[in-house]
Amino acid sequence: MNCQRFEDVVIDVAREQIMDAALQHEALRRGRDCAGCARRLNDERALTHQLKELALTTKSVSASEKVEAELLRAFDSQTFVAMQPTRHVSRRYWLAAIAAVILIACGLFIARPWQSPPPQQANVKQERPDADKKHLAEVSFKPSEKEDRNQQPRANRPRSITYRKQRGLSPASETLASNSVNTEITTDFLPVNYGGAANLDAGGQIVRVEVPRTTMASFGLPVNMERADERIKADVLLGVDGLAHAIRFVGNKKSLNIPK
Amino acid sequence: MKPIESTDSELLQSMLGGDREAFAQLYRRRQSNVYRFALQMSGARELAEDVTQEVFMVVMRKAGNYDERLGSVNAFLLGIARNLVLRRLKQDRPLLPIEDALETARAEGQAEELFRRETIESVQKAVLSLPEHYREVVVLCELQEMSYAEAASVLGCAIGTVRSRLHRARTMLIERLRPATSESLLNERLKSARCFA
Repeated sequence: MNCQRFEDVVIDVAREQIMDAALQHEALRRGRDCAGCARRLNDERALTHQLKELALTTKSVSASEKVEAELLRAFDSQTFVAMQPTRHVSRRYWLAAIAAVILIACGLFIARPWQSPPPQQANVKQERPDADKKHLAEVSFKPSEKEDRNQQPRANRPRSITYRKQRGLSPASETLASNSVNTEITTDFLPVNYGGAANLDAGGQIVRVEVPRTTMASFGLPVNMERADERIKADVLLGVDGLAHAIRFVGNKKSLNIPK
Repeated sequence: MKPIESTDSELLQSMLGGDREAFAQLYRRRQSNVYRFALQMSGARELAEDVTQEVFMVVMRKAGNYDERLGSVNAFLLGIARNLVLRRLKQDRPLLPIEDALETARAEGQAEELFRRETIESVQKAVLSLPEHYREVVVLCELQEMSYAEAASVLGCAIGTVRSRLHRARTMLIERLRPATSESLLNERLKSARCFA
């Protein structure tokens, strides 16, 4: 062991700490052999002794009884002491929560018109594949477009979407339908009123009607004024409540004034 | 047959449930450590009493913060005491009455005790003159006789840090307690002539 190594362990030796016996023995031997290390060990031992004396002096000291009495009094009224900060935190928490909810609601209200279309329109668009199928089914039961709807048996009249889904289409009727689709074009379903979209989940009907062409104008569609007195076919989407929720206009490109 | 004493943790748990006697028992068991720590760190009885009271007030309110895995209840209490003492020392630094702690001893006035008391007083002054981060290690490891691990949990540092701080603090204490005579010059010479073989 050299002086540097001795320096590392001298405190533990002087403080009589539990340590490796061989290391302690070596350090003590070093303390005997080297004058500098011996002095260092003596200094450390003297300091340890002095510190122990100081520790002994203050060993029996304690806080006055007045402190205990005050603490016990405080403990008795602890519910007040403990509850007050909790109530503060709780009130602050709720205020912050309410403020956050109001902010989020305002944010959603402001962002709504810019981010998404009106909910009813969106719902109608979601229903559209079914509605299209239904339209195809309806068309498939018609021998020709010219045949009057009044001549059709009641069974061939439009039925609920759910019923149509179960029935499906035969390959033959699909062919007819596709031919028919080729001749017809439709607009998107346009919402008729607000608040009825939720009813479509329970089912609904698409009814083919004829309306004056000027009706298109009320939905913002262009109308050829030369043919304003004519009628145009339209599919009206009825909810289970019997109310019309959406409408789409059916015709060819010419009748809908769509440029070729 | 001697009744089984509750551990500090058990007392703390009972105290959380509103057990006044548990709180009183914990206080009586641990107040001395807290008070001594504050006294040895500050050298002022009044401050030590204030800190002791504040520590147990904090325990009353925040006993739920105690985590058994991080250390003993004693270490938890001394950790709180340490923070409070350091805060108070920053505020009241020039007002520390260093001799307060030995006032009682002086009053005894026994001649044979006088020399010993003076020595102790000088040691205490030397301890109080140490920078705070060295002083707290000396107080915990030497005066409170805590292990390095316990001291580390109170101070929230590594055991190695405690060891090195204690080493440095003791060296500083030896230097400060050594009489300023030619002997110290001789020691310096001896130190430089130390063999590193």
